[in-house]
Amino acid sequence: MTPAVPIVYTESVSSFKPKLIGPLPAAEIKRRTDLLLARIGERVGEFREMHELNRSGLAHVAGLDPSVITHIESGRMNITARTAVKLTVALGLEPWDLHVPRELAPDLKPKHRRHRPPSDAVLERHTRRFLKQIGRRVRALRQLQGMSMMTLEEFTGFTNSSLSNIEGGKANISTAIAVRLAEAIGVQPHELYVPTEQSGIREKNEP
Amino acid sequence: MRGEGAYPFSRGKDHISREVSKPRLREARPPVSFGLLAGLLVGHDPRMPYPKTKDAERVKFIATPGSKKLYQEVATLEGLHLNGWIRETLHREAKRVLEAHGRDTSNLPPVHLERPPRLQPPLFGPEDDDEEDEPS
Repeated sequence: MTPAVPIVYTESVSSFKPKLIGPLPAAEIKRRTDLLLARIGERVGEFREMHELNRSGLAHVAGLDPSVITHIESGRMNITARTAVKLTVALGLEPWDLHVPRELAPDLKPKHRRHRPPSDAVLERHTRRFLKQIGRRVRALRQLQGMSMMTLEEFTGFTNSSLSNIEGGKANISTAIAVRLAEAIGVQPHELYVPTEQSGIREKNEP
Repeated sequence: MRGEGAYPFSRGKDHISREVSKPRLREARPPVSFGLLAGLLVGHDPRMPYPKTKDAERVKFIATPGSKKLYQEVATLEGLHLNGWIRETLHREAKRVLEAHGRDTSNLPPVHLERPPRLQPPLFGPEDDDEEDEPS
């Protein structure tokens, strides 16, 4: 199926090297998001089995519907940062652990197990902290790449106010949005979630 | 009488002129750099560098109703995003006019924004590199 706006190679480049103009096409973003969601779903299933929980048990502890857990584990649900916090609090993990590829953290194990859902205040505190961390991280990586907000706007297709909300920690970003942002900045999607201390990206010009 | 005292800005011209004509005293400079403090407060990571001075500028123009839809449609037919199509069209026209007037066109700004090189390889598969490695 041909996307409505295909990847564009303009003739304005003097050499024969093609150049991508604007954001990636929607079909390509969807393909990458689906692959990432499938990985996250596998990870959730692994952590759930480490706790010897069934899906209903995890759904109860996370305060979610059992069908949501089924959708997440099968990679059919575009999970937001808030949902990630709910799951990770229930599983005894850090909020970014679900997004980190297994290859980078093969020995990651949950610290403890919760037996009842956390209170709304605890969830709200964790979510706010996580969203602020994502915002700081997006801003830092954008600045590391020497990109202004306008350039990021061009390469993601988001509006200026959306990007301001994300960088200000006010937007509950989903995995699809993270994929678009990461693609525009030129990093892997989990880099937007992990704190700077745990990231492999520290200095400019580092591959 | 129209709402006297209801709004601070509706008390008449005298009030505003008095406020403006107050002499402004120079404030003492704080001991800590305000730029650094503000950066930390808004969440800037001091280990990350600040961005370049300017890598893009916004051009705004006003058009008749329906023009935006028309441009969007044409851009899609050309296989370009709207911003890219407008940039290319204006750039081509600007170059044509300059050449018609005998001006030098060798130092025109680039048409499109430059994507910086990736910090990391893409996560999913070699086919993700297609748009960067293979010509169309």
